[in-house]
Amino acid sequence: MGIKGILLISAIMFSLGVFGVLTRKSALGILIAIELLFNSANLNFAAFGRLYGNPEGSIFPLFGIGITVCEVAVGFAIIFYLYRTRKTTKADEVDILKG
Amino acid sequence: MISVYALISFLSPFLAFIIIGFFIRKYGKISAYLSIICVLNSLLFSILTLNSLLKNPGEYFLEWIWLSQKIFTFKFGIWVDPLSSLMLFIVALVASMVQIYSIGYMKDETPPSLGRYYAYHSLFTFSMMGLVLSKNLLELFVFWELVGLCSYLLIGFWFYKPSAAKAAVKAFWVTRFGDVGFMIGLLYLYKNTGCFEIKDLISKIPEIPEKVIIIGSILLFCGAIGKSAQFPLHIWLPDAMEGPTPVSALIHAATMVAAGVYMVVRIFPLFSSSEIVLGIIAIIGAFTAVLASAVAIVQEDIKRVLAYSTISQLGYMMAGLGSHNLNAGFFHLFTHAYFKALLFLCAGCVIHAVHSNSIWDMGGLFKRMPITSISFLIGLLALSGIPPFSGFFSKEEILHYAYLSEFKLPFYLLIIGVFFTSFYMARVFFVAFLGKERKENAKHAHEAPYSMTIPIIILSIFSIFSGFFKEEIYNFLGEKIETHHSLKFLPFISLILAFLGFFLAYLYYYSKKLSPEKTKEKIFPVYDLLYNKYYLDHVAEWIYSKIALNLSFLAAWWDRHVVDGTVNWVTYTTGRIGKGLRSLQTGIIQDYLIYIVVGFIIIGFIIFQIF
Repeated sequence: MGIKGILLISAIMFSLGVFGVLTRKSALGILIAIELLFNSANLNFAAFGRLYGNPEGSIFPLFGIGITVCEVAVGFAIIFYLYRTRKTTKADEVDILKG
Repeated sequence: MISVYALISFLSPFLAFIIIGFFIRKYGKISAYLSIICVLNSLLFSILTLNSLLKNPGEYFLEWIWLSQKIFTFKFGIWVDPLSSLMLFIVALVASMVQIYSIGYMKDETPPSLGRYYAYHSLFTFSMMGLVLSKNLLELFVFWELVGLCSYLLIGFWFYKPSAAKAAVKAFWVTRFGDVGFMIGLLYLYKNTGCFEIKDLISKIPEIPEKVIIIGSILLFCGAIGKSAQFPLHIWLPDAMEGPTPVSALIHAATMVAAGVYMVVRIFPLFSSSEIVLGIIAIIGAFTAVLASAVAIVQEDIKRVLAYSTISQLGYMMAGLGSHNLNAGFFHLFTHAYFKALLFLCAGCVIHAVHSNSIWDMGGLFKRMPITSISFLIGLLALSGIPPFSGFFSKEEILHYAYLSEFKLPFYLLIIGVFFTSFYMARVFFVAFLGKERKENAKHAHEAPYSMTIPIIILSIFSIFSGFFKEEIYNFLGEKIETHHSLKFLPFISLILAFLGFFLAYLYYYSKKLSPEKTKEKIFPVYDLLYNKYYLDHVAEWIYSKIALNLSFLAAWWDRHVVDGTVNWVTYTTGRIGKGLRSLQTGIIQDYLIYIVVGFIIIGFIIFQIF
């Protein structure tokens, strides 16, 4: 598979991620969709790294994955706390910052 | 060194004002003594200034840059020359006498009130000295307004009396009316000559076109009309008598009201380079002198008689200046400051003893208050121009130059004024000090305490002797004395008129050969006109209520509807836009994400220029 195929998959993953982030009602769903966004970016790094024969392109996704893990941990913590205080994990029910 | 003396003299009342005003106002007695010590220090240093200037004649400057810009530099400085040092001495002497006197006069005040009184007094002394020492017109204007402020504060010192509050506001407004002219004149001269410095202005006079000189100096003279209570803006001064009597003596007789005369003297070359301007000054001065002295005849309040007398004497000074003679006007200012302050302080003693201002409540005070009465008599004789008292010399000088000038009308007005002056002063003396006691209070009157009589005695000495220093003062100010052999008859005319005034007052009010009431009925229209002060207050009230007030209503409407309307419209529109945008802020995170995505898409379109 050439670079075009990988970029296409990455684009599809990104679009699905955006779609998920914008449409999922559950906060957990949004978090999963964000993972898709991150991984499409990581995939791009790896693909271009292989294309130009540059090892940095393969190393950078590792950092990306590490950061994602942290982000997921923080995100879960927020969702747990949200559930504990508001008894809900639905993103559209949490709107007390409404102007 | 000389200018440092003057500077110390100038700043020491300011120190007193700062300390009293900010720290020790609650302790009335301490404030009073501090203020007096500072003003005596001022007096000492003003004497030192005068003394060293006599030894080393010349002009001395101190100067600082006040405001520096690319196109202009305003300097702030003091200018010590014979004229300003002499005026500094007058201010310091009268201020210290009045402050000492005030201890006795104001002893019934509460301590905070006394502290306030002395704080104002110190501020006034400082501002007046600043006015005297000013080096440029802008600085002069600043201090000019400061003395106006102090006058307002001290007239309204007993602000809980509605009449005092009204009088203070009236004084402020009427003088402000003249000050606007002064300010416009200042800026007009600056625009046309490019300098505020008095010396530069005077040296530039030959280059200035005549039109600019006439307009500029008439506008400046407007300020002097307001401040020195000349016709028709004199209406504030009689009402200013609502303030405490020492204040009237210091501010409304000796110093502040002379500021207008002093200003004219200071920039006299500007005024004297135009015959028209001098003519206007002479005519206004002479009219003021005679009109005010006529009103003084029918006044019943002793302080109001003296107030009208002050207006009339200021008119004499102006007329003296207007008849081409700077020194005659200034010399009269010099002698008048002492004897008018003296008369006011004596009136203060009498009011203190009798608890009334009306001369018809007094009578027979000569036996009970000998020191006050004799001092009052000295002041009276000086004011009426009887030799050898000081007023004689200065008044003769003015009459002499008025007679010599080509324009004779001021002279005739002034000589009539001499008769009126002696008549109204003699009337006050016969009614208030001689004859029988008219009211119960007058029977219990007794001599004032030493703190009040000592300043009076010192001022009496000055009132008697200051006239003898005419030649010294003229030499000091650098003017040649002209001997006037040809006019030996002039003093006799004015003396005859003055004694005629005394005699008439004697017939009316002491021997009762003539009855004031019958004369009043005979000339009732004239009496009515005088009693109502030519209805000028009514005219001023009409101008105020019909013109000024309507103009203010118009201005208020413009302010409320146009100025405020614009501001309100801006805020209202901003508010409406804010309310509209508020609905975007839903609080739901996915909506914000949509905005971000849409925003990125739009930015992407712009960057890649897809449109």
